[in-house]
Amino acid sequence: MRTDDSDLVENSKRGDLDSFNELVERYQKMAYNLALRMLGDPGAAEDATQDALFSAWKNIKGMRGGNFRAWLLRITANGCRDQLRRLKRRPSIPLESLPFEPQAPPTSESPEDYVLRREVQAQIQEGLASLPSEQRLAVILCDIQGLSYEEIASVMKCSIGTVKSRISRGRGQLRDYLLHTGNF
Amino acid sequence: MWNKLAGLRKDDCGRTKQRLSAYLDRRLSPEDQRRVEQHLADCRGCQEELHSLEATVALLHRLPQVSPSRSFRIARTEPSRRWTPVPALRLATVGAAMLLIMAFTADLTNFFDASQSPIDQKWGPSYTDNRSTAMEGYNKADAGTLTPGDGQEPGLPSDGALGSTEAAWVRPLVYGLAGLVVVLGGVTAWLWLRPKRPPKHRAA
Repeated sequence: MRTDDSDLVENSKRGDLDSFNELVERYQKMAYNLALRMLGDPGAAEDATQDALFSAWKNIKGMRGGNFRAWLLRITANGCRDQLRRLKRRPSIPLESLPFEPQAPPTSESPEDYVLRREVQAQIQEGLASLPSEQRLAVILCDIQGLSYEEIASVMKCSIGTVKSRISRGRGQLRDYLLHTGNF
Repeated sequence: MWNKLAGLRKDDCGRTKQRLSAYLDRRLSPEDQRRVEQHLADCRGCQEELHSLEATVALLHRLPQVSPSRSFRIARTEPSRRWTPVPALRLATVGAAMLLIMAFTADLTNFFDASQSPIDQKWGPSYTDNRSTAMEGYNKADAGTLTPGDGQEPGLPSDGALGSTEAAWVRPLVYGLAGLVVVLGGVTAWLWLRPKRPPKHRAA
């Protein structure tokens, strides 16, 4: 039987590491993917995810509200922002180093289609990297992670109107980038 | 009049384009939704804009969720029992610093010389007391051995006055303690600030 997040959070607040690790199992992939799309580098994304989860464990007693997922994603996003600020660069990643998928194409897909799909994914990643960090975060949370506008507002600590605006501008800018690079 | 109508249409296109993203997500009010749909029915440019935006969102939706290469579970570990010199060094630094302050304060307030008169400070406390005894000894002893006027008064203790002995050990004490504080503090700071290995309990 699957335990509620809120129960696991309450147990974690009392110092139950097993409960916290259950939450880790549930959300580590989501946190990692957010960091990966924000930073564009698998190694940096792993470090950011590890730091975020460790920070969450240390500070879970101070967590307010019941949405652990939004809280964890906020910590992860803050860590990514700090890292980007430190690096003072936009994330960029060469296509060859993208270990996002298995190296061999799935049997249902021809090698040509596989290469094409990988190229498009790399273009999207580059397009995301060209967005300002707040717009990038909003687009990732909405269109890749599938969060609602309310959850995104909670993660980004801003109003729904600001979320709408950031998503709209981010999508528009990404669309322009893809048009410019000949993907449409 | 045609210009005015064209301007109105342009404004309408601008407003619609701003709302297309929220329209895709069905986050517009029913009234705004209806307005956008009405405009889209007549405007080819905004239709194209909507289609390209839909294609962008579809591409984003198709991006795979990547599995991390390892688990990020927090491991349960006992607190490290490995001995580290930092606490002991910190304590030693604090102790040495306190001793230094005490010695420095005592030196400033002449604590070590407080019981001596100016004469004692110059000649030593035994000078006035022993002068008569020394003179008697001078009369009795070999005059060639104890010669007045050779730069040393009769009765002056040959190992130096007590006052000058105190001054001689107080200064080295203060300087020694200051050096000790600097060395201990430096070593402690270096141990404290040097790159640390990541905590063991971070990774599972």
